[in-house]
Amino acid sequence: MNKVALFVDDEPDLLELYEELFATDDWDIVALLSPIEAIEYVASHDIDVCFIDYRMPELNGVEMRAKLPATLPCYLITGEMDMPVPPGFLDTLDKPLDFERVETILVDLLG
Amino acid sequence: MNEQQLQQLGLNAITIAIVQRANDFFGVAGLEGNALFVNAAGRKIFGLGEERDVSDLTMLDFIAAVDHDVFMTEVVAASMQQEKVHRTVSVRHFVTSEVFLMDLSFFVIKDAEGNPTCFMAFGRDMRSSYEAQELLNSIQKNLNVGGWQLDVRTGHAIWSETVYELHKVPVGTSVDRLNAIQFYAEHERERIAGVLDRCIHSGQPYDEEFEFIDAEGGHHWIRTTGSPVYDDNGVIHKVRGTFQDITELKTLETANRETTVELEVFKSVIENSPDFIGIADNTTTPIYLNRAGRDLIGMPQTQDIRETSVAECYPERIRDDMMTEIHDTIARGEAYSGETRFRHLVTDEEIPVLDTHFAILDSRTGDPLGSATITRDIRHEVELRETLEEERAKLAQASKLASLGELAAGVAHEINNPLTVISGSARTLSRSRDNPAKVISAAEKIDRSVVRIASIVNGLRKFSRADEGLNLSQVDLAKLIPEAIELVQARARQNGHTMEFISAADSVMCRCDEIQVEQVLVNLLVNAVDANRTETGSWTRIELASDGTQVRILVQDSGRGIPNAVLAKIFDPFFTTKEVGSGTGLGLSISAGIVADHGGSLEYRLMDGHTTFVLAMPTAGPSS
Repeated sequence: MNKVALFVDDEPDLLELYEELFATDDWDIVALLSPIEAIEYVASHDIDVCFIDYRMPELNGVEMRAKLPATLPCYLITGEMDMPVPPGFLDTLDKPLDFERVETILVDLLG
Repeated sequence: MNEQQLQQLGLNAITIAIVQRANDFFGVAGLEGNALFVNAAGRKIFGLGEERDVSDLTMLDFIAAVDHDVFMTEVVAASMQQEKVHRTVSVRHFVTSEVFLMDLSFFVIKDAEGNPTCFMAFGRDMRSSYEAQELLNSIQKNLNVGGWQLDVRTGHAIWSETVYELHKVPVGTSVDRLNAIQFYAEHERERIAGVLDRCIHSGQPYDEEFEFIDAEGGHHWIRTTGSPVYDDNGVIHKVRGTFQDITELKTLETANRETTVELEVFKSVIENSPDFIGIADNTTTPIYLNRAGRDLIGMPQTQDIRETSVAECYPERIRDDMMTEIHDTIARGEAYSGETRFRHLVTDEEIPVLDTHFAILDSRTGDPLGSATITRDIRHEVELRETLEEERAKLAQASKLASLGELAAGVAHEINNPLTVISGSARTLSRSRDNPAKVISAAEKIDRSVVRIASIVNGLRKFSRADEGLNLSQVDLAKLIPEAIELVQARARQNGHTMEFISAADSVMCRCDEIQVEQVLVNLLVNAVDANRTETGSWTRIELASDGTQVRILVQDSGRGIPNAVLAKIFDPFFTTKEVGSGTGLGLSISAGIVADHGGSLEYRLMDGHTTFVLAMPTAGPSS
């Protein structure tokens, strides 16, 4: 069974790209525009990792993280400059996004 | 006693008829004092019925108790010695017991041998004339006015009761011209004698006020009049006049003098006012200028103010305009007030002043009496204002930098997003060479992102530019507004705030400073987003319309209006409702300043229950 990576961003073009670029034989990509929707999705699905944009309507990435299970590995994707890693995140990934870094994370998670 | 008995007393029928019909009292009494007859008028006067038998009454029953002794001695007893006694006595009314005066003529009837047979009396009810006299006295007393008369030939004077009282001399004391004049204050005696003599000799009436000292030494002011009385031969034989105590009136006059003193106080206040205070008559000739006024225009304190004119107080270059404007304003019944310049008469230096002119009207008739000028030297204020103006300019720049800083974070995110899309699309391109649909989709994403970045960079570029005055150009607001929205979009999106732009036309041209107007728009939009940051589903709608001479930009957000407590201050510099550190409070005040510079207006309104800012500007730009 494939692992599932959840991407949450309010930018549709980006979500489309995430699906195209990161879907592999091992990884299924779920891309959602709304953080609220994403929280609901996590509650009812098995998710292996979560990449969350910081600046979003409704909830920002940090606020959203607080509503997710503490055990879920989360990365914060942010366009803000020099942002420290907020609690609950394994790391921050700056925009423009280093796609290879994400690929590495996903590969590493396969163990 | 009937008429027959009266006849026996020697009265004939005609006499009896007269006696019965007389309006005066007529009575007959026996030598013992027993009443024998009272005529009809007498019965009426004393309150005795027509049929009342009077035989049980005595003469004394008709006399008031106070006068019993007087009556017995001075009337009854005296009548034995005289042909007739004439005396005013107090009598009494039988029913009401009222005491009243009767002028009594009392005599004894004697028989042929000279033996007394009975008493007879005629009496006139003095009530009416007595009361009239009393009334007159009371009026005289109340007015403190009395009457006097001087017999020119004898020098003997007659005074009314009030005149006696005013002199504090017992009523009835004999007075003549000489001692009358002695009551006048020493320095007045010559004058009163003079007017009196003129009246006596040339018939000239007088009406004069004098200082007067009564018999007890009391000082009074009196007013006395005198007019001649001519005899049959046309010779002045009497002078008659009035005599009135006017001390009270004089006191009022003194009070008036005190009011005059108060006016002096006012005058002193005006004289010492730090403001220029001047008064001109109806021909705009100056009639008064206070000390500060003279100092301000450099006029010596002692110089006659009429040597200058209102017009001369203004520098020549504005003189005619000022005079016309002041004159017209006052003519309209309004007060002129405005900032202008005064001129120092000596140095010709121009002095910034706040100038006020108004008409002085007669409080009773409303007729103009002249005009007054109150003018304040505002040199210091003007200096202060210029400093403040500089400060404001500095702050405006600071605020611009502040909002730039605020925007920077959001803008970075906004740029990094499309950059990520470009970068990702590039990756897709390299992997999807065989999939034309994916290639096209990636290329489109790249294109969209570049446009977005360009738009953001363009907005930033404008923001970073320094401004020196207005840099006017024809600006298409239909394009400028979306750029402004773009700059705030990131902040809006983060707050779940949607922005909608509705333009009445594809292109709405306006001559304005593009950068500054954009700054205003960004300010309004940032405020709209921030004000609604705690609300979900909040929105801002920007509407643009133009009628050819004026553009109107409506920035309306989902907020339900600004609380009244806040409303009064929203355009004040440094006023903010935002959390400490998140707003400088300069936004709206600077925005309003910018719009005003463009000859436009920025107003807050509650429209359809929503917070709305209405920005209006002339399409042709500021007029000057």
